Amino acid sequence: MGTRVERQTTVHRPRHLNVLTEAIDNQGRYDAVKLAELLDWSRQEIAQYLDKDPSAISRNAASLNYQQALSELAATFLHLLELMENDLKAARAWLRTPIKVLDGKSPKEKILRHDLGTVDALLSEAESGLSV
Amino acid sequence: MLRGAQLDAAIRTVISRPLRDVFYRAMLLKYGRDPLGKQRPIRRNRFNADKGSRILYLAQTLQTALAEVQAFGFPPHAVAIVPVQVDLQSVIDLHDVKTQATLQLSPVDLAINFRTARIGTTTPTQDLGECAAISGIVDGIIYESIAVPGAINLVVIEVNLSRLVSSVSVNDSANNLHDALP
Repeated sequence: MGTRVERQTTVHRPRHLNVLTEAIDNQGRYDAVKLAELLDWSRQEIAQYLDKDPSAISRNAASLNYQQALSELAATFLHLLELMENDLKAARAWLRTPIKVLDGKSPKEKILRHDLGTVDALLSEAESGLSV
Repeated sequence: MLRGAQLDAAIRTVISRPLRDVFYRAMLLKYGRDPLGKQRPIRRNRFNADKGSRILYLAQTLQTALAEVQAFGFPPHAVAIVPVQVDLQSVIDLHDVKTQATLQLSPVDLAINFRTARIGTTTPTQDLGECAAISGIVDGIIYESIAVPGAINLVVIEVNLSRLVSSVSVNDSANNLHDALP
């Protein structure tokens, strides 16, 4: 009798999804501090996005109360990474760059002013063509 | 600022002209095989509402197209700028002060950045684009680029191309890139 060889298939997840796992804790929750590190934001900035005191973030960075806002931010960052061909450095840099189509504000500034939707819409717009 | 029936009536009195020329469309390189954006989702833009009419955005020169790309602030990434032959029958020119007066559009109205307008609202230029699409009698609008003051851009109102026997096409044999609307 011959030996049956099981063919193994390796499934590779998209690289940008692997990047995002760095921001998730053992329970599968987004961790505000880890997500801030991924975005290269300070703890103060992620606290501002969550409308919380930085000390509260430090105490429980993966609180259930933050999951909705953190997952929306993560989804937009994924969208950006996809558009940037998974270039993490370029994605971080774009977030902090003042841009003309946002009237000279940076995407990060818009996000910290609770206007994540505008940034996500801009990324969708870029998929449709690049016209001011 | 006109809306609805008043805007439609104004569009019907504005002078329009045929236009045959080459304009340029910019896109991320990964969408380069779809040069006229036939597969693109319709997101709100300067002359269309979110999920509204299919409006194609073109620049008169390569330089303007590139400046518009740069206005998005993306770090260096490959983009494609494709020459598009336009053959339109009924184009209105928003540079024309008489046209602006008829449509009751001020320079401020024309320059509103829809991206910073409140979600769920439409800007005067979006109202104009959508109304022109419904009118069936306009297939293009010339307007000024925000990225390059004084430079000319063109939007093509795709839904009216067939009716007006107009067309836009890409014929780039060197890159084996061919496409046309309608």
